[in-house]
Amino acid sequence: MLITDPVNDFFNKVKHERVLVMVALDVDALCACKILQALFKCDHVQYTLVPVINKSQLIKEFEEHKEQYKHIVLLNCGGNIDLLHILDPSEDISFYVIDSHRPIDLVNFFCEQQIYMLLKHDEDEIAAIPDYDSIYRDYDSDDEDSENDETEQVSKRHRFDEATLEKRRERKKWEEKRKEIIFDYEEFSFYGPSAAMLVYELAWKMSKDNNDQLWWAITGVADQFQNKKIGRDKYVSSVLELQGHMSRLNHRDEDDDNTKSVNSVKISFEHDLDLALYRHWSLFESLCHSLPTASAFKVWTNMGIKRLHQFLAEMGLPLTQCKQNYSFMETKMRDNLQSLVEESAEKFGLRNIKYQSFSAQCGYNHRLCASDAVYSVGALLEKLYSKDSQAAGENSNFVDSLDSLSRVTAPKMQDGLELAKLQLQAIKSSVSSFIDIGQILSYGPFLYTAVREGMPDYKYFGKPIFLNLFSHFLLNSYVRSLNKTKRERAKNLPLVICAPFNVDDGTTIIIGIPPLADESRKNLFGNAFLHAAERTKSRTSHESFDSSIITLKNEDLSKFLDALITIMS
Amino acid sequence: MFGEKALDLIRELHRSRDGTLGPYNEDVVRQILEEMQILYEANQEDVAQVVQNDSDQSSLTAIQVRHDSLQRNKRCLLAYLYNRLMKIRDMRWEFGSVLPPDIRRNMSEREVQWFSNYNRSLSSYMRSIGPRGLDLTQDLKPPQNVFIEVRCVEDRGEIELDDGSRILLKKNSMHFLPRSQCERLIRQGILKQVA
Amino acid sequence: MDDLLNVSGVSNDDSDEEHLTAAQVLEKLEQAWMNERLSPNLMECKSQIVEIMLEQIEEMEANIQRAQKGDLKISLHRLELDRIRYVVSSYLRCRLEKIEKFAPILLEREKSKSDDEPSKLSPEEFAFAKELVGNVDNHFKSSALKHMPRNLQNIALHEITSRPNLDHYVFLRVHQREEGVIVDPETDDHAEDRVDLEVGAQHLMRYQPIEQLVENGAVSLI
Repeated sequence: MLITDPVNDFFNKVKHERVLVMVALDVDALCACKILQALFKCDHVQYTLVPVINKSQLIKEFEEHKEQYKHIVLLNCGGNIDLLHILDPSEDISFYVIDSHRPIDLVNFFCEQQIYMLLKHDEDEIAAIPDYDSIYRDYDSDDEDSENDETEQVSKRHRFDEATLEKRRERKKWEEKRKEIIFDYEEFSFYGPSAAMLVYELAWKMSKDNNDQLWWAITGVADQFQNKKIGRDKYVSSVLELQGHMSRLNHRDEDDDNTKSVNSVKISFEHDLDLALYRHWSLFESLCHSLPTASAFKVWTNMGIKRLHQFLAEMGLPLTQCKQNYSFMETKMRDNLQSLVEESAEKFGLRNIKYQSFSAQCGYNHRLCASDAVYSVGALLEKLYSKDSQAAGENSNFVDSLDSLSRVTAPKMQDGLELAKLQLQAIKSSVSSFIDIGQILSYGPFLYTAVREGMPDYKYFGKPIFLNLFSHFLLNSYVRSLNKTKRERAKNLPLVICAPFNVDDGTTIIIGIPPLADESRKNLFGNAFLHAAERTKSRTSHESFDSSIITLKNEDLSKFLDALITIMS
Repeated sequence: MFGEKALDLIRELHRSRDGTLGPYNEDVVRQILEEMQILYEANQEDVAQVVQNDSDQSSLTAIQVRHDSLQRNKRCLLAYLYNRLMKIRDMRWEFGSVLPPDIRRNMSEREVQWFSNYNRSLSSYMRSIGPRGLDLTQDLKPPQNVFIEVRCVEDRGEIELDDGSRILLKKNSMHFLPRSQCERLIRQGILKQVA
Repeated sequence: MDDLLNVSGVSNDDSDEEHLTAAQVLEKLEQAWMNERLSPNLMECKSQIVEIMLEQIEEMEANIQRAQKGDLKISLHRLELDRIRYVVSSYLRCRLEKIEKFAPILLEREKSKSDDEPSKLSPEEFAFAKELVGNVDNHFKSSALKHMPRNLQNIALHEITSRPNLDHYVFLRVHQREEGVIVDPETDDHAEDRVDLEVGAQHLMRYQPIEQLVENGAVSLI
């Protein structure tokens, strides 16, 4: 059921109860979790936080906790699966789902009790959901009779009545139409507004919002944009809203210098450069490892590096400065950096080098911009551990990532940044080798590449956030590396990557991402994978909340891919 | 030299000032008591001799020295015993009425006896306070807020809270609970408060 | 505090001397708590105040249970209750520590005092102290003393335990005017060194001369 008034229908209902919060393992969910925690603490609502990485963990945690909690909040999980069917909860348990995964499961949406969805009141979104009447229909008693009678061999004249035949025909038509509607509805999977943003709006409606929560909302939205879950227009409209909130909460600075203490969080809006972690790295490294610049300059080739040097020279930045840590660059160069880059960008084919973003500053520390926070928390979530401490380590990732979000200046955030740098380096070197070796093949309807077990850093690839980032990086770089004619075609091709997931079990993880040209980021691989698995009876598990990531047994890989090619042609 | 062993005991106490209870040094205690016995008997002889032979005052200093050694031994021994008892008393306040096995191992039989007697006295005193008794081992710090956020450090399974509701304590889960419920678990190290 | 207790509908205790509001009882308790913590010697037992406070806590607890769920006041009341319980616990703990430390001496004093002098120990504390002393004594005897030569087997616990340091310097605030307090009675034969204590003044003095004044509330330790 859709909740129209989150304050009364959700928050006030759980205010006096104990709540179980199940958090999916992505940055957006963690940000939503932090805002929700702040709200609960304010009202002394007792809660328990549980991380869930995939559907089976959701079921497991539910089984363990179902005796103790009657109100369960799901953050970025459960929206696109049939909760009632999968979890089979007892009558008195209520689920409150805040999920950015789309399409929302129709049962969840139309269920009258127990499942409550918090959605943004976006006209388009709700209009996209099919009518109740086109999906559900009460059985007429006449229909029922006609069904029963048909099985009997007794021929009664009224069975061949026009009326009943007509009804049967109509029913068949209705069912076919229903199938079509559902098919269209569930064909593509995509992302709706960020969960953190929704929870922030809830806080705002209760007048309990503050800068910290706004920063978490910003990070959640930035996560969606950075991981290419939403297109630029959706991002811009979210940013517009966030700007409104930001000016409301931060405007006092302009009137009086002394109203805000130095150690409080100050958020500012800017048109920032789309360079990864450039404030925490050297400019040169950042240019090499950011998606737009790396693919434009083709940094995996020597020519590319030369062009990069040329670019820096055009801007008038000496190489020594650029290779130094950003904070040690000369101030006048840092100040002019943005304008210099903008000027030279066109000449070198850098499009969209600037984008709208927010940054936070606390005290006199360096500013942290939203994308930095996203990289850092994502890296912490997927931190790798050596084989022995694997299980123990993975559990504490969740807690560490939450810790790093707790303050802008949290020390864990710095750890995360270092890990993120390592990840980006791994991405860049893998991309370079892939494109050099020419490992990306065109399988017809899509591009395909595989990460082999012997590759360096192969362990990183088993993690969904990293794999997603890598795929986009690879697709971008590959398309740019082709010549003009091939490029046009490649822009419209989606990419499928498979990588070793669990060496002991012999499983592979597969991810599919939509083509570059598609701004709406609608992904059809969810369904495609399902069909391919059914056809070939492969042993797959569609465990992830994001339907475009699955795992399957190594042996079934080739037949699965063949089926996939056939389906998508 | 007389009294050396006794000094050893004191040194041992001094070394474990950080609060841990070392094993009960049965051997040294026995040796000291034996030494005392020897000294005493030697003194008896000398005193008898002096009493008999009034003119021979030569052993008076010896008697004096032995007497002082005996006093010193006694004092050191009693100090050793007493200080250990005080440490054990502190353990009661820290760990509750059941001591962890590795600490019990370090206690002598009689110390264990003393501990259970102390436990009994303390419990009956606490029960007698006010209409329903008051557990003085709770509320060791002034409370700052009613609810605190805690993180579970180890698996403990289900526990029941005062209001009847049950919570599953799984490693690395985070909870927001009333402070009074968590205090005991925090002291046992199962929960850790998140700032 | 008054508001808190007016919610619970209780405003009077049943002390036999005066009618005190709950707020006043709390104030007295806090005063006793401060004095106890800062003084080197065991003070008189204010068991009446403790009893009253604990009863109040129970009543307030019951009221909270009855109150409507989700009322903001519940959290505030609960915190207040926790804090009061902390003060009571801390007060009793402090006393208990001192009793454990000076038990033999306190017991001797109880034995030797006259009947009209107030006892510093409540009956329960007295029982506890007695048990403790007996316990320690037994332990000494069984672990060491009975193995020792005969003439060394006796010890007088109250002679060998450390005494409270009455020469400890304390800060105090004056509530009632006192004239002519002798600062150093032992060394001062002619009683020349006297101090007048004005109301509201704060002094730093040896504990021993003003002990009696602390007991009867003329001054309080800070």
